[in-house]
Amino acid sequence: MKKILIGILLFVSFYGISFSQNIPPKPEPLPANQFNFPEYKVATLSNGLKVFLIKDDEQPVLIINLLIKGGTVLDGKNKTGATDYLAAMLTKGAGKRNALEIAQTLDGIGASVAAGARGEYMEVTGYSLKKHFNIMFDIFADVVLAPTFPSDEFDKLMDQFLASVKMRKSSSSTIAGDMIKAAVYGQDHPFAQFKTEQTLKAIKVSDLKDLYKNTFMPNNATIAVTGDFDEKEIINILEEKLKNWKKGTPPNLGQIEAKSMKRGVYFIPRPGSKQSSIVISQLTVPRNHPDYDVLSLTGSVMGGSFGSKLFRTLREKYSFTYTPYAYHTSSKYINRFACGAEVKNEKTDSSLTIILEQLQSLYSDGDLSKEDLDRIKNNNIGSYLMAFENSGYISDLVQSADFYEIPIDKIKNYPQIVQNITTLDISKVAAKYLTPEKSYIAVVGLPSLRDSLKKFGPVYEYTLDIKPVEESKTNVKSSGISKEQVIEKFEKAIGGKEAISKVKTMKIEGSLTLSAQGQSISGNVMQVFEFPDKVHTLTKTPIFTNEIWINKTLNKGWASNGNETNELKDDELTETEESTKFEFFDITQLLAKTDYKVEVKGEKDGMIMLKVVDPEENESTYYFNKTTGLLDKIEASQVTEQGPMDITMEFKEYEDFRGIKLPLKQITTTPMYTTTLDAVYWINPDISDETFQPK
Amino acid sequence: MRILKKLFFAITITCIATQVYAKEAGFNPIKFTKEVLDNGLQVIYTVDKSAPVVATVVHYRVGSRYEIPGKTGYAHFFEHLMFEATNAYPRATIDKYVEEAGGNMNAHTSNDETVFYIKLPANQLKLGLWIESQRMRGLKVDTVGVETQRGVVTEEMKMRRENSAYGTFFDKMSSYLFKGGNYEWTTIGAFDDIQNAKVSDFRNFYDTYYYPNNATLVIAGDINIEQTRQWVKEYFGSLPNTTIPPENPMKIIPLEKAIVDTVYDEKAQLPALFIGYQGPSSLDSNSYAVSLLTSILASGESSRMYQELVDKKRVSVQASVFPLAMEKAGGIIFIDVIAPGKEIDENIKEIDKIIKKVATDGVTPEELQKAKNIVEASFVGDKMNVLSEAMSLASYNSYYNDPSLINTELTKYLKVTVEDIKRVANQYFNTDKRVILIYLPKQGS
Repeated sequence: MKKILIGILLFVSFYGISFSQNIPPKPEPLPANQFNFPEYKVATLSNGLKVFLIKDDEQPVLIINLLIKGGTVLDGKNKTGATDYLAAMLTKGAGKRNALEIAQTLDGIGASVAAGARGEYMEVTGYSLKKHFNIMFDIFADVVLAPTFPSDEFDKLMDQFLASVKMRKSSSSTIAGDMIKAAVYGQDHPFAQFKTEQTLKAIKVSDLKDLYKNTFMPNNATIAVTGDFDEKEIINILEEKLKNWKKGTPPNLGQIEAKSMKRGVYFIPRPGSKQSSIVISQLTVPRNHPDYDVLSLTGSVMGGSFGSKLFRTLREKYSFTYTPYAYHTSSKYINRFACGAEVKNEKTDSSLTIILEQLQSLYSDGDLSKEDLDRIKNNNIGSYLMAFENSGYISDLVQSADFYEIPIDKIKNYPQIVQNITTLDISKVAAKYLTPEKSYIAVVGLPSLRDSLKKFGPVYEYTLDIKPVEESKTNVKSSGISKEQVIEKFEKAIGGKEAISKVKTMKIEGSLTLSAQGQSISGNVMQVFEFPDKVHTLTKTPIFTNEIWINKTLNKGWASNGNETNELKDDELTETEESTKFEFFDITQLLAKTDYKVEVKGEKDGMIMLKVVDPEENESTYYFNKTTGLLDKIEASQVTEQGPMDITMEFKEYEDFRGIKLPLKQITTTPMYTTTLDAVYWINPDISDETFQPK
Repeated sequence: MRILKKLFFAITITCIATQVYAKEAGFNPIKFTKEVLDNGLQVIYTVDKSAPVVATVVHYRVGSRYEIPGKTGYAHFFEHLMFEATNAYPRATIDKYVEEAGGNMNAHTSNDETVFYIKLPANQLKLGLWIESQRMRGLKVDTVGVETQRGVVTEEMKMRRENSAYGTFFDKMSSYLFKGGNYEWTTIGAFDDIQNAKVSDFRNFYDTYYYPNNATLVIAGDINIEQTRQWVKEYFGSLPNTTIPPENPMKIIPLEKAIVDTVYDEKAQLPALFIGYQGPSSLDSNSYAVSLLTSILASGESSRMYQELVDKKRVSVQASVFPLAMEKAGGIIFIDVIAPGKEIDENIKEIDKIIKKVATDGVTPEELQKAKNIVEASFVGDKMNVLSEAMSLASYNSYYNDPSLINTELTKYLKVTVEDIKRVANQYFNTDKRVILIYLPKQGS
């Protein structure tokens, strides 16, 4: 027995040794490959356009990139989105071609011409095989010199832009980002603007034409050609095709000072939030400042990759979030540092504390080791080197160095510059710029979080539209009327308690129009009620059918899609019961519901506002006409799979149906679609009991 | 993340132009060196010094067609499991190593292959070789890794099948088009097979297919070939090889009649139509003509299907067609999302009219040239990126045993004539032998 055991032990240890010998350790990186920043030439065309020529013979392709100084900073506060719009319009008609012809010509040769706007500049980029360069550049030149701004394309794009801003409110991180920019830069600063339905609708074709005229001029631009070309030949082509492009007076792109808001916590309550979006940010230095590079690397140290401080704490140690981040912006005159994350609701204040602690640890306890910093540096240098794979990257570096007025050697020596930064350098800039006294905090999350934020400074409450709550309240007058009076007046207005109590059954028939993304479909709706227990609804459109039966005397409900009928159970049944109630009579019962919170918000534009919060914290505001007492609209925030969504229901054209006043028109608007219901009502019709269960 | 996106690549090919520019094909050929190690690992090296970057690709000849009924989804499962622990490093570390180096990594599975790729700054090449060699034979196929990835894969199955509109069409289409053959099931596999699989089942799968003599390793980028060969020998040379079991012959039952199947789909907003024909495999010379034909039919706004169905008749919201060319068999699949209020039968008729016109009248030389231009542009564009170079070399080597196709395959497309297009249209589009899947929105409660 002993022998066998020893035998096994021997075998195991032998096996163990041989095994470990076979496993090589993780290799260390070799010294970075000698990489010579590609040679390039600079020339100036006779019209003043500065040209960078970057030769790259890897394959017979050419990339041409035009940089126009002046980006979204030129939008102006009331027309935010104009520069994006201009860029999008450039390829939608130019020279003698319309949008389709441009797309088809380019696609047919596997080429592309695209334009885009960034904060401080716009770019137009063309790509093609060398043999198709002339065709591609023909279009490129038209796009730059002769855009036609066709109004039909303008309208089409408007729909797309409007659709994109509608989704803004469903992203709490976007809202937190908009808020922090307003706090750090000041609400009027160009960097703090964001597109809204209002700013987009204010944009006219003539604005785009003006913007184009004021920025697209050779002495306000640089162009870079990368790829397989002959220098003389390409200069000749550029001279020839761009000869009609004339100099002008460039726009003023000087520095606009930040007018930061009061230091504190900017809190945007958002009922129904599943997570909080938190950001901590500080105003820093311009691009050409000696501290700029260290601040950028500090961004990586805090939250750029797996090895960063926020990944190691917020994510790995505490699991409060999956996606912490930190960065330093890279604008010409004015920048900020930011750390943030989407965190669990109940960990909002703890997460803020951890981020602040981690910022302080940069300068207070020397806890950043050289090894950790080396890992982060490797990541940054690696990413810089990897990017050279992308043929447009070199022109990007060269053109942006020119734009930001940074010596090109600084760009070329980036790996060395990063390598030379020490832990001491980082602690110095952190102590200088990233202390709590310099920090702004933005939080988007559940209304109940408010008190927990007070420990970080004065709390300023803002709306989802980044308006101070105090200000948005200024239009609201105190109404001097109680919630009981509002409901009572409404009840009287639609016919009075007695008349309502006499309604035993009701039938609604109507036509429904559903519009989404420029398309609409129509259908029919029928609803039958036997108060208070029974409902039958049928909605029919060409693409779907929906039928529901609620029968509380049987305590049952069913739903059908026209093909299959399913019985509703548990939550489904409760939810469906709730959503099929007859809204108007339900309002009269509002105060009797003890688990609802109801209060009068005040008076605005001749309407009394009644705030209603349901047991799930969904908040709605009911607007009652002050004169008639009737319900004009309901604004509600409803929690959906995509997060909270704003819904507005409007009620119009009230008519009398046997002593009960009801609206002929109901319009429901959501970020995704709009429905219009034109309905008529039958009071106390005869209804057979079979109606309230499926056949 | 690690999902086969082939299908969707095919759907989103770019547009075709009205004007045509035919000029000679020209590009700089890719030079490469190939060697076979003693253990059977095929290694291809290619130098590209345009950036200090290197890519490694490991292409294993194992995809879902190597599975057996009752044990499907294993190849795809390994695409995930291969990111778990090995004897050399603990779990959840290789992503970090690669990211800390400034690089990135990913993988994909198809019916025929499982491919792993890592892109790194050139001075970190050894890290990539170390990871690939360690997981080639040293993967820990244990309960922790298997259960973690079972959770991830189960979510992926739900996301793809249950939470996306028409999410089951590819499963259904494959089961009809390739009945009798191992393409009958799709890469993600059957839900129950993955739930029921034991750790020992996965262990067996690993010990059957994950060997150097079943793989091609490609290293592309800013490398010194002699030095790199040394490292490859160091990391891969001592790995053992094995006997790979012979492949089961693929016996697909030819379609004898038209099959129509209707599916009610809760996630679908609009009805949609999927029409599948049996088509050429990727090794069949007809596959080039079929690929160009599908491009002419449905790539971009000037294509025949877009023009007829979406623009003029407005019966479709989206109309596309893509070739499904696999190693042992193929298909051609039409996708048509029907416009609100339009009839499904009407759309089938319209699509059939378009097909009939090609079969009867062929296509114009201009249309064909445009399709060739698009192929050419992407053929050249792929040679500017070390990862796509490496992936192409790996698959040309694995399927054709001929990596030089990276330089010559374009000519096979350019040789296709309008007559070829007409011929393949007649050969494959037989309306009596096809599969029609009709998806109708199902409105739940």
